[in-house]
Amino acid sequence: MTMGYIVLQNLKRNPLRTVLTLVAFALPMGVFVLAISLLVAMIEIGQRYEQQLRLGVHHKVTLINPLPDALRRQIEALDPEQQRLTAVCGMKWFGGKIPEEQRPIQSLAADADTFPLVYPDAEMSPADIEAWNKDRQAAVVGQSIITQYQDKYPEFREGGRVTLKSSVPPYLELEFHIVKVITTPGRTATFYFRRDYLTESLEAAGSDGTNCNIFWVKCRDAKSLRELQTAIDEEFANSPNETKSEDENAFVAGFTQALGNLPGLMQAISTVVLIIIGLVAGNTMMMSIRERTRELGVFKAIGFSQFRVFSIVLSESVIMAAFGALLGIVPVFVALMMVPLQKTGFLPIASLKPSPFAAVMSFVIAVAIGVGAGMWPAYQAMRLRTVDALRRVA
Amino acid sequence: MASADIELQNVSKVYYKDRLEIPVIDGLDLKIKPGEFVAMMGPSGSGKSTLLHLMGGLDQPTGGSVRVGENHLENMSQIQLTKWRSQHVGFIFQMYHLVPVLSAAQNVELPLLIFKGISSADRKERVRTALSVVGLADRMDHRPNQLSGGQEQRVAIARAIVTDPDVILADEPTGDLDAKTSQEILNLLNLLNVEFGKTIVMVTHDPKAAAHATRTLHLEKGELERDEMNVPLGAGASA
Repeated sequence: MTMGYIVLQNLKRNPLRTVLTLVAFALPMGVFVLAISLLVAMIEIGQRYEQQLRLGVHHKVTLINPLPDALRRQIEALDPEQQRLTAVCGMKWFGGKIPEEQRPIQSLAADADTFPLVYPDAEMSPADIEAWNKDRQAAVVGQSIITQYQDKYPEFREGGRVTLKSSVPPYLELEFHIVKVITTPGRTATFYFRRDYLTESLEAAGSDGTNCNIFWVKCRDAKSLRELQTAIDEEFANSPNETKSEDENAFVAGFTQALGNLPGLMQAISTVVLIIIGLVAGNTMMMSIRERTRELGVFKAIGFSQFRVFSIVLSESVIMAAFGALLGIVPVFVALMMVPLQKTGFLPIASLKPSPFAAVMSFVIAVAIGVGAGMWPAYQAMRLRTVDALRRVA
Repeated sequence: MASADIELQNVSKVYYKDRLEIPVIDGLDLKIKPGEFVAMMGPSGSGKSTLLHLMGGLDQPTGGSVRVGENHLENMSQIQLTKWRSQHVGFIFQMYHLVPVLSAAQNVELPLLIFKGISSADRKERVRTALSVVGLADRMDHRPNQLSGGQEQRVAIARAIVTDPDVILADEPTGDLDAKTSQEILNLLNLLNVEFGKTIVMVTHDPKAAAHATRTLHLEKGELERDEMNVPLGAGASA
């Protein structure tokens, strides 16, 4: 028999209470892993965006306000030698959805000539670019869209022909030819197609197609990006088309913050949940110690040192926290590896991989809570006067 | 087979409750020889259990000295007392206080866990011997809830003797048992006293239990009222 054996046996005293406490640890820690994995994924995507050195130029008032096509030439004219920018790609929101479905797909019409230059992270091969240039209906589609719909609509594959119906007037219904599936993280939730195809279709329907929602400017380096950001906004200041330029990371963060401070909210909820777990675990340990006061008195009477009694109680708390955390973390981690969550389509990112950092961090936090929750009961047990403990009526 | 004498000189003990001074023992002198079986009797509040706790190093006197063998307990720190208890004293309690989630053998093994330098095999051998002495060698794997009250107290006695202590201190060891089982437990204490030469101090309210001791101390309001030598009823009894 070892001290560890005694600690484990103590946890079996009240199986229901132990199980409930384990679940109280497991559920929040599972959600915690999910939340941290999500945050880690978003941070990684943000870092990738920053590396791409793209500057988004949109109307100062809102993204919905269109900017004329002519702005592209004016932006390019700011750096005719192309020392700071390499290409400018205009984009227009299409808001397409599969006619039989309700959920819109993030679909954007992009300038055909510059899209491969501004979006090298789409990883288009020369053959892909050739197919894109040759076919006016060409579309480059993110993997998560394919994954989400391919079971129901087999044409959602490379080489497939699909139809999307716009959710904005004049509600065009356009057919596309998927020439490339993008798998690059951060780019897998968007459906890109050629803007000249959209412009023609809009004009054929009697609408004006000669405007954009945003121009993406591919910059050579971070310094050039900052300079162009200032130069572009100054160029169009006090004009009918005042602009606001921001890097891609800030642009996406703006979208996220439109839903509220998601990371901040998650952090606040996590903190509250962790405090609650700590209180639950602490209360459980206090109850456990109160029930065993005389027994602890006997331990001390037969020669168990104060430190040993302290260690027994603290170990119980830490083991419960560690087991509870593993019960929550491992299934969520395995589930994230096995289940493609992007199929559900509700996550703000295209794919969610389990983050080892999140798992380790969650486990460490759980153990820290176990230590914190067990510290006071362990101290109480340590300070217990043997004589008082033996006299106490259980 | 270790045994020790106990000597108390001018021992006093005062408790404080809500700033109120409660004297429990007042200037008590007492000598117990090695191998004696002493019963302590007296009404509630007479200081019997307090005296037992002082002899066992569970509490320290407010004044005077408590010597057990070579050790002056009043001069020892809590850490020293804890270590001393683990090696020199065996405790038996009225309510047995066994750990319910451990088997009889594991309960008996508990005091040995803090002994350094004892192999697992040696520990098991000592546990087997202790349980054999109390007649429970065939109940080693039973949990406390699978044992009768008398058997539980026997396990508690095995736990008290497994470290081969100099002194066994028993606080009303038969207080929760029926007459027949009490008799068995008292016979067992007699066996430990006579056959193994253990110094035993037992607190009891029961004159029949006290009659098993070689000497009976009567306490009243923290003072030694009477000190009587008994005819050892249980001498030669076996468990």
